[in-house]
Order: sequence, then C-alpha cells, then structure tokens
Amino acid sequence: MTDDMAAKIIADPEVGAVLSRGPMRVVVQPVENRMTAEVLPRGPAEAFTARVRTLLAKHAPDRFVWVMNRDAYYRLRGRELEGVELGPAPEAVNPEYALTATFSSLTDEDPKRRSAYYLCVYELTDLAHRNILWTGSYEVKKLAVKGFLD
Amino acid sequence: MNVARLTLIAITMLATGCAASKAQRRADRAVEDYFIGNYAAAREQLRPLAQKANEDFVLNNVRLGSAALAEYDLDEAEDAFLRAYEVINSVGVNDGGRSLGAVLVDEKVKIWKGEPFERAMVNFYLGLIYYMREDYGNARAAFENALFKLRDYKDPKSKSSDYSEQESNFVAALVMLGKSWQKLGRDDLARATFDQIKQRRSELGPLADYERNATSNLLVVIDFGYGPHKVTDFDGSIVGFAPRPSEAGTVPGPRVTIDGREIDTSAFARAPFDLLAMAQDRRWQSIDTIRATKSAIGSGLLVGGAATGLYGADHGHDEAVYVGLGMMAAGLLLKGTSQADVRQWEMLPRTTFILPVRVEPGTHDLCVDFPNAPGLKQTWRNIVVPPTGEATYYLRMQRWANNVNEWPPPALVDAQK
Repeated sequence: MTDDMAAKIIADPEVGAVLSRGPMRVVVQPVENRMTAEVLPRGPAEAFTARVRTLLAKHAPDRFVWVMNRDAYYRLRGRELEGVELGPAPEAVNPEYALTATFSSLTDEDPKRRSAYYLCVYELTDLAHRNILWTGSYEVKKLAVKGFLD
Repeated sequence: MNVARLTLIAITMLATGCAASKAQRRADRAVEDYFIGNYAAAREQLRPLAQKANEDFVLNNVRLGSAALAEYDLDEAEDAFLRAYEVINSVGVNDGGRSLGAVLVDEKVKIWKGEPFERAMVNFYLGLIYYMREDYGNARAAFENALFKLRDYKDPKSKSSDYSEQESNFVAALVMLGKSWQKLGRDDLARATFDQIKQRRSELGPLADYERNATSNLLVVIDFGYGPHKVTDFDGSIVGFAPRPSEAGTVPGPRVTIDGREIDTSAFARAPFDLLAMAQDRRWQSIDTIRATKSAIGSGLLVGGAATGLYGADHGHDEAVYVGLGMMAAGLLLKGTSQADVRQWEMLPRTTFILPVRVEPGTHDLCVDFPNAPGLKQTWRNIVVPPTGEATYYLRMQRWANNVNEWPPPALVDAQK
C-alpha cells in the first residue's frame, strides 16, 4: 500500500506542478484513528507514515523536504527504527504542506463471524491555503469466522 | 489429526508438569508482590512469563499491565495490555487440539482469554492509558471495544443458544468514551453517550454531566478493592464466582483532599460498577461453555450407551452390551473428570471510581482515602493540574503499598528522558 501511494504522489500532475518550482516542505502527521473499537498503536501508526516518506525520498530525492511531527520525530529517534530516515529536526524547517492519513472502519459482528471493512485515506494538503493537493484511498476487507472457544 | 494433537498436548502436559508449576509459582509470587504493593518485583517476575507464547500468555500480560500501570510505566503497561488485546480479539486461537483437550483433558489447556468482565477491563485499562497520554483517538477505540455485545439469555436457566445480544452496561467505559468524544470535538456523540448513562443509571447522572466533564482539569481514577475469584466444588469443577456483593459489603465512597482541603466528591461516591456483581450476572460469564459441552457429550454417551446396551441385551449381542457399557463409562468419566480452569486476573479491582473535578491550576498534594475503609489512604505530592486540558491520575488503593508518593513517579521520569 505504501509503495503504491508513494508512486501515485510523485505521478500526480498537481504535485508535479508544485515540485517544478522547487522542493516541497512537507510535515508528516501521525495516522488518525477513526476505526470502530480498534486501537492503532502509536508505533505502527508513526512508522507507517515514516515509511511513505522514506519511499518518496528514495524515488524522488531532493524533491521533498520532510518535516516530521515534533512528538513523532523525537519518539522515533529514541526508538532508532531500522530503515526509516528521520530527516531534519522539526525546529529546522517551516513546512508548507502536510501529509495526513486517516484510518476508518465498519465492523459487523455476530456470534459466528466478524467482518471489518477498512478505509485508509491519505491527503497532501497545502497548509497556507488549506487546499488538498492530492488524496488517495485504500480499502481492505477482513472476515474472521469464530471458533468454539472464541 | 485432533486426536494426535490432543495426545501430544496431554503428554506434553505430563512431561512438562514441573516446568509449568515453576512458571505458576513465579506468577503466584508476582501476584503476592502486587498485593503488598511491591510492583517492581511483580513486574520483574512477570516480564519473562509475559513473553512466553503459551496458554497463559494473555493472563501474564494483563498481570504485567496491572503492575506497570500502578507504577505509571505507561509504555510497559500499554505493550502488555496490547499483547493481551491482540489475542483476545483474535479468533481461532483455541482451534484444533486445544479445544478438544480443554473439553476432554484439562480446561487449562485452552489459551486463557478471560471472562467477558476481564476482557472489558483489558480494554478499559488500555483506553485509560491512551487517555492519560491524551491520545484520545485510541482511547475512544479502546473504550468502544470494552462495550462489546453480551449474551442476554431469555431463559435464565437455559444454557443453550437461546439468547439475544445486547450492548454491555459497563458504565465506566461509557463515561470514558463520552469524555474521549468530548476531547475529540464530537460534542454530539459525547452528549449521546452521557445521555445513555443517565438513562441506564440515573444515580450516576453527575458523573455523566456534560459541563462538569468539559470543565474538568483533574481526573482522578481510583481502583478500589479486589475482583471476584472462581470457586470450585469437591470434584474440582467450577461452581461460580466469590464473594458475592452481599458477602463483601457495600463499596464505600472515596474522600479526596487537595492540599489538605477536602473537595466535594459526593456526587461521585457511587461506584460506577461492581465486578463482584458483574461476575454473578450470566451475561458477563462464559465459564459454562466447556462445562455445558462436556455435560452434553457425557449425556449423549450415557444415553447412547444405555440404548446400545439394551439393544444388545434384547438381541443377545454381548458385544453391543459391552460397547454400551463402555460408552456409559466414558460418559460418566467425561461428566466427572477434567479439571476446571480457575485461572483469573487476580489484580482486578472491585470497582473503579472516576472523579472529574475542577481545581486551581498549579502544583498540588492529592490525597485519597475511604472513611469507611480505615487504613486505605494514598497521597501523591506535587501533582500538576493544567489550566486547560485535563491531567489524569491513576491510583491503585492497597493497604500495604507505599502510599506516599512524589510526582512525577520514577517510571515517568525515565520515559521522558
């Protein structure tokens, strides 16, 4: 999902128009959890957006300046996650764009099965004008059949 | 396949009896340490146990979560409760030989996922940790998960599948869910949640007051007393939970003082829930699943064996008589054997008080005691109350713990380094 998302952002014409004027300074926000009754732990949520940023940095070097959300930056630096480039400290750069992700879900549960439909929406927003420059969404459906002692 | 796995599990249990009892002794020591307030020692004992992917994985993780939360090590508490949460919310963890082994050999073979009230508390504590960290999106999700559907049996004597499902009445999670919605700016959902509490439990109206919660800058969450434990009869089968609320007496209300001055918390003096009462409510139980299954299979074997035996006797088939007798013996054995699963989350409180109050912002000394429970008193010096937002403090009331503490606790200082 993250690979696909990184490729689509780079290929987007509106994003391309902005990039033609110089590198984009983007702040990465933690994933917002709007899922019904499902926890999205902080670590995976932050690592997920951090991976998108790393992929974009690989595919389009020098075209993005990534600014991580201050809390996430220092937490991830503390954890020293492998394969995740943290980029400059949040104090060093003033971002113009924000990359946000929202996870939502619809869950249906009965005594025999549980089905969940997940929707992940990503947005690249122009912070000065509040314009959404790019948006992408991904859907996943999970079905679990309950056993005797579930 | 199942028979082979069952045999393997049975042999493994026999062969590893010593190892299991060593782990059990270690867990027992950890529980004892917890009860005397030596949370550090309890965590030390529980950490290696909580990493072992065995049938006690969830149990040891919730035990570790309780000990870590009492010491404000929110990272360890979150990790432990999350590990438990993942397994509790997974399906099929007891498939195959474990189910069969639990029915035929020993209920402890099954992976412990807790009774419904224990599962609700896992979600509640997970939500509380997120709420303390001001991660309201995840807090909301965890409190929602604590409000799972319960089986409401139409016929109170029936243990069959004759039940409907209804939303749980776990008010503590509803209160915290309403507060989380408030923090997330969803006033509509916050009001709807608080209204739900007022409709179900009108005596808890002040706790579900929208304005009071909106203006609160200090939230005191107090775990009081101890939860229920499983009791067995002479042959080792579970007969229920003890003590009953009437045996344990009424839950006393807390008294809260800030800088030596008592603040009015009379509106919150009623316990939002009573685990002793919840454990007696069939909707919050699942312990009869295996008993019912064993009983059904045992009865089937008895009836089938009797019929086969009678048929054999009538028709002069000795083999059929012996088969029938064998089936009846197996049925009796099944009904009368196999050890009940008495594993439980011992650290659970009897109730959790939730006190949203507004006090002068700044640094204060917080003291909580229970006038009707002498000797139960806990003090936190130099707690910080913000001018905006809400600071949440969790207190586990225990008579023998170190009950005079300095804020911030060492675990929180280490986490902030």
